[in-house]
Amino acid sequence: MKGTPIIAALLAVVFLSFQWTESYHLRAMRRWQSAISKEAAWEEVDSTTWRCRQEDGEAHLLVLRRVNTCTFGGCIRPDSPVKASAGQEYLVYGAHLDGITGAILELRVLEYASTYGYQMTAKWWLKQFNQWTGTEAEIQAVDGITGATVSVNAFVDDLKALVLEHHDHSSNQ
Amino acid sequence: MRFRLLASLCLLSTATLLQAQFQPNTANQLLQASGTLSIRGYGECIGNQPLAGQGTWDARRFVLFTGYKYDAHTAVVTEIEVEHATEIYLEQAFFQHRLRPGVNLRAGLMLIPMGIANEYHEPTTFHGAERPYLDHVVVPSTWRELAAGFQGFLPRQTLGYQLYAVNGLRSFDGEKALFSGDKGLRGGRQKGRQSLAAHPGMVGKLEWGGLKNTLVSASYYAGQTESPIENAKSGLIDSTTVFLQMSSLDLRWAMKHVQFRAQGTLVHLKGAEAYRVRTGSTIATWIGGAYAEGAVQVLPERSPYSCWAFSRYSFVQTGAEPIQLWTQGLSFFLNSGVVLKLDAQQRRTSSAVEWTVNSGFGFWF
Repeated sequence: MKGTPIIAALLAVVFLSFQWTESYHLRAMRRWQSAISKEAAWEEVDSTTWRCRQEDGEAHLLVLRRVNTCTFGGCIRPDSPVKASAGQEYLVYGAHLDGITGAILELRVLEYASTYGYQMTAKWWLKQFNQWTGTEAEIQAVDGITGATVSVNAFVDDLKALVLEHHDHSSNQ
Repeated sequence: MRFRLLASLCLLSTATLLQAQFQPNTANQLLQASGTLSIRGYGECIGNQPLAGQGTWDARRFVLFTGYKYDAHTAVVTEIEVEHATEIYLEQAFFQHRLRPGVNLRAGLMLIPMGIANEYHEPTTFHGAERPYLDHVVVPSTWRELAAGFQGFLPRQTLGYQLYAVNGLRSFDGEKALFSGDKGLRGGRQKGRQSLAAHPGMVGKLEWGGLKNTLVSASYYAGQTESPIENAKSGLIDSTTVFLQMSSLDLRWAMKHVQFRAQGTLVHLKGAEAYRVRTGSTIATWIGGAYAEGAVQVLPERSPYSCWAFSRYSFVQTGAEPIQLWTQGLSFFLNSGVVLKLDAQQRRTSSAVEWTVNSGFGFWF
């Protein structure tokens, strides 16, 4: 049958997808650690946070976060105390922070489960958060992103909480 | 208080109009909606008044979507359409299952990812009462077929992709050709209605959002067409079928007050000469076209409404004679979901120039 190779290729993708599903995000974070410093030993602070200190005194923090997002049209707010429903969409991102000041050095969206509004995963959009410590003037986050305002707000709120947490922590040391 | 209300309305109208350019389609919204059962819909009524001749008003379509989300991984989307007030069609019915981050399995009756308007055809997503002519005869919008494959999004690359095995267009109905020089490929849609599927084809699309305010897409389709005469068992292909390849490139760009979009689509029909001799069709071996459209927001920011003036130039050739269309008009948005439309269209061929005034309204919820 003429379509046999096509069907075989589709089945192969299904099979490989199941093989790769486990620890997708953790493997992405490990690759990121190697990209930042191959020599430094990374200490696991908890299951989603890693820290390293290099010989020259530089310190790095890598954090893996998941944010519940939402669509306009009646879904629950991401910060709602009500438990997210089964269909709640989300995004998973990694943040590379300065281990001393807590400032953002780089952001990467590792998974974006929605089918639209994905401009917020673009490098040009994520770059605006570089060096952000959550204390400066509000970032014009929604500019250039359409159809995903609630997702953007949920992401920025989570990011702000993250950098403030680490900013306070480092200044208390 | 009045100022705050005005400011809110301005913000709403700005969001509305960026949405008109990059608005997600309804199926995508249903897949994202949380909860379990979601209902959405859209519809449009259109009037066509030629300057010489009798005009018509048509309740063109009313569409009801229902989506059911079983859990974070699995969802079903269905779309039932009433066209011209009397014809009922199933336009989409597919399931989607998340296999891993960035890879979703999707199968069923679905829209073919080709060009802009075939996937994004809700009336609030395009200017003009009628969809672009290119998306009428070359990409036979709304083109939906039975298909199975994968779609997903790679966040690091800001790249969305779709790849499906799909049943082909039907080029012959047993008595006459379904492709023609004046209607292009439009007659060949099988629409999931006891589709012939002796030779599955492939369709793929990449959509890249890596540039600010811009979406760029490239689509490709390849497959043998279907015919009831063909001897599917032995895989013989007769001259009532052709091998069809379609490529399309499109771009959408939007700022607060300015929008631009363009699309080019090219189709090659391998075996078209024998097909024309056998069936009497007038379709050309190479068909295709392009359009470019610009739009500006004409109401001041303080207005609670938004109104876009647009102009679109299209060039299409499906038979012996090229067709050029100039369309100028207005899209007046009462809010993000209801639009009033008015445009004038000049259709020019080597032998005639025709003017038509199109008007209508559309809604989406």
